[in-house]
Amino acid sequence: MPFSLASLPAKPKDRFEVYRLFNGLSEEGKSGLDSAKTRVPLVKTFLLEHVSERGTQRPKPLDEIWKRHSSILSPIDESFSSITDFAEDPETGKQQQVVTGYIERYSSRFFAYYTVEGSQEAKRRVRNWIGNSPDLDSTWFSSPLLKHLWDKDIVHRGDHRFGKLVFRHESVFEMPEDSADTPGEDHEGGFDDGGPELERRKFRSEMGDSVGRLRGSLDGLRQSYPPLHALYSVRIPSMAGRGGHDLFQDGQITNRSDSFEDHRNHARYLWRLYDGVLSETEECAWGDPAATNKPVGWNGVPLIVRFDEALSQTTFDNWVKKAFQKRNVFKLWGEPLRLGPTKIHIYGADRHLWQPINLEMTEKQLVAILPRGTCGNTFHRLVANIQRYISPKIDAWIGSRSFESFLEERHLNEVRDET
Amino acid sequence: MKSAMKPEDWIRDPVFQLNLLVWMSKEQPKEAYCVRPVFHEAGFDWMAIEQPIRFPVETAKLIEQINEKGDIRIHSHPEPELVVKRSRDQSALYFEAKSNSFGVASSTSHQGRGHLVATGSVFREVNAPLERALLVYVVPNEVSDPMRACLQELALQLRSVALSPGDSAVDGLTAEDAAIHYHFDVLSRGMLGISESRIALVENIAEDTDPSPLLLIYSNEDCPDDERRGYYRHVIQNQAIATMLCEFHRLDIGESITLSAARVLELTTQGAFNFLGHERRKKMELLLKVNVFNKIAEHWRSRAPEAIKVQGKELTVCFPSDSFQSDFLDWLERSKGLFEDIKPKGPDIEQMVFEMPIQ
Repeated sequence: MPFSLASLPAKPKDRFEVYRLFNGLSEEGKSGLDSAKTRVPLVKTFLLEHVSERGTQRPKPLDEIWKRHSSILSPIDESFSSITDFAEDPETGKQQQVVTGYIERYSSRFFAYYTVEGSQEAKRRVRNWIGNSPDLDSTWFSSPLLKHLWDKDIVHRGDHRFGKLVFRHESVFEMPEDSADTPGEDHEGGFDDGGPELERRKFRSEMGDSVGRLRGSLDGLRQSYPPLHALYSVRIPSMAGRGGHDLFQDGQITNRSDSFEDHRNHARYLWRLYDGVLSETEECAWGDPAATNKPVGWNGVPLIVRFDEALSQTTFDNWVKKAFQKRNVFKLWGEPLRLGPTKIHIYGADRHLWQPINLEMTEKQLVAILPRGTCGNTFHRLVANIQRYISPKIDAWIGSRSFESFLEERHLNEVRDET
Repeated sequence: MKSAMKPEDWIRDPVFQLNLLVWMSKEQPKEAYCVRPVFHEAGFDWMAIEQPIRFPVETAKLIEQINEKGDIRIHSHPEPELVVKRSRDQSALYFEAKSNSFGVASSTSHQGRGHLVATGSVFREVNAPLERALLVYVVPNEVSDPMRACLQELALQLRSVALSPGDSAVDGLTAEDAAIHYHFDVLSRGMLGISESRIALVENIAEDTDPSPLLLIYSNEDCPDDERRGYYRHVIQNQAIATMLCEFHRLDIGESITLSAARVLELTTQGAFNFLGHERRKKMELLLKVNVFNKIAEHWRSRAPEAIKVQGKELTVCFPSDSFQSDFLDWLERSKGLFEDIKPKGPDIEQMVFEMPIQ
């Protein structure tokens, strides 16, 4: 019998009742994975950002944000709540209001949504919340950040541990105009289903092996095949026992360990890493207005992403045409002002968070200027989407600092200890 | 919107010149700069853009007497286009960009005298703890020599009336070998501590491509490009509409927001608007009021006169329903090309548009 969300307690005695339930589901899920039969959906966490808690915007309380989606946030304790939303009853197929998961507030800016809903349904639900609210965003673990996590943490958890790396790149803008569809949907595992196949550079690869073997071969492979720079997901081995936690680029973490507590600890660990990187991005991009008496608009540095290979005229034109459409994954608003065949300026906005952004797009690079108070997520989302859809191999800088050196300085040992 | 100008034309445009200077003082990577950040690399950071200089009382009085006498004229509050400063030796570079050189008898020479006085002995008094400044004129390189000769003559004139002008340099711009080059005067090289006499500022430029980096400064003036006179106004209008959209998307149903033209421009320019001169601010407010606020109000007047109002220089928006909010935002998001970028003219028009409410 399929798992029903109606089994989730609407009014648990405390958050630990939820932990116990998720722990049981994790154990059951893990044993299902081990026997290659997943009987219950895996516990998963979506790390989300409450954007308006940062910068110059008016902060909107979380319960008001969900009210806008006709959902109900019911507090269980001061930082833990259940979410009641509409979901399809697996038996009747009818929509019903049920608890779909739980929110834990990690800080004023970040929170986690824990759920056991099926992967596609949960993704769709979270996307819907984010897409309809400029106050919410995903966290964006772009390829350089995932690679940093691999280099500085995962490879040190033991060569014998099982590791998994997933790479994804799809040159959706390479297509002739009439077939360059708008990206945005994930097609997990959809390699060859016999459907129509679009002729464009497409790469999805999964490497699963011992961490030691993966470490030995990855750098060599990346040198010979650029799409292997477009890292989309990594498996982080559990600290508590078997299994691990799959971290995806959009901040989804899937629990493949047998412990919810270990899963939650990893979610919080990743939150602290991301929070630190984001704060530093913003400090670096905006400069320090307190240092001088000049207006803040004259501070700050540009964010520059350079492509390893120059884009063709067709790819550039398709990108410019599509990137500013309402439903495109780049989620940009603005009027592309053409300065030449492969150079445009946009004085526009990030359509997702509704915050201003000025961009220069050329066949070789993208330059972004983020006004003070805007969220650094825009930059990390740009980097993630450029590697996935435009150029798998890139170099990125914030001011004069390369993104790699920027991350290097923030070695994982510096991640704040929660306790 | 494609440019009809060649790179050698752009180097004469004051907005392009100033924008280059601003980018030259902005931190960027060595491997992928938009404009080589040579001032930043030499330790200089922005201090002021188009800020008028106020002279010490004694100097101001002396200038007043000289101007009354009428032999020579000196600008009493010169406005350098850009000043960058370096804290480690308390020095500054004081820039004035020109599309051409001028002579001692030209009407522009009083500005030149003003700048020379501002960077002379009074600089330290006015700009403490900064101790010294070098006046740098930036012109197309082909007119560097006559410009240099003019400044030397102006300095002699000032000394003859008991004023102490500062040192001056003339740096040149050229468009050659598929790049915009910057040519350093020997005094500029000394101040920057570099040995090169010429560097490529913007590389790999093409004949058919406007070499401008993203605009970091704001202008309501005409663009010299015949094909796109309103380009600079178009840019500021686009930025203002983006700012307004960001505000409107956060507005709840029934909630009202009143945005003054000044407030939108302040948000749009990240506060830089407040640092501009009074006249410039007024012109930019007028631009936004006439070309954007009025257009919005006119479009929605018949459908929802109470929801969208313009009174004086203020736009008030209150969405009565979800559907109205959705329609309004869709319209504004699709508004590319709806807002003309012509230059509003004349004091009478200004008076009229600021007083007449549009509802």
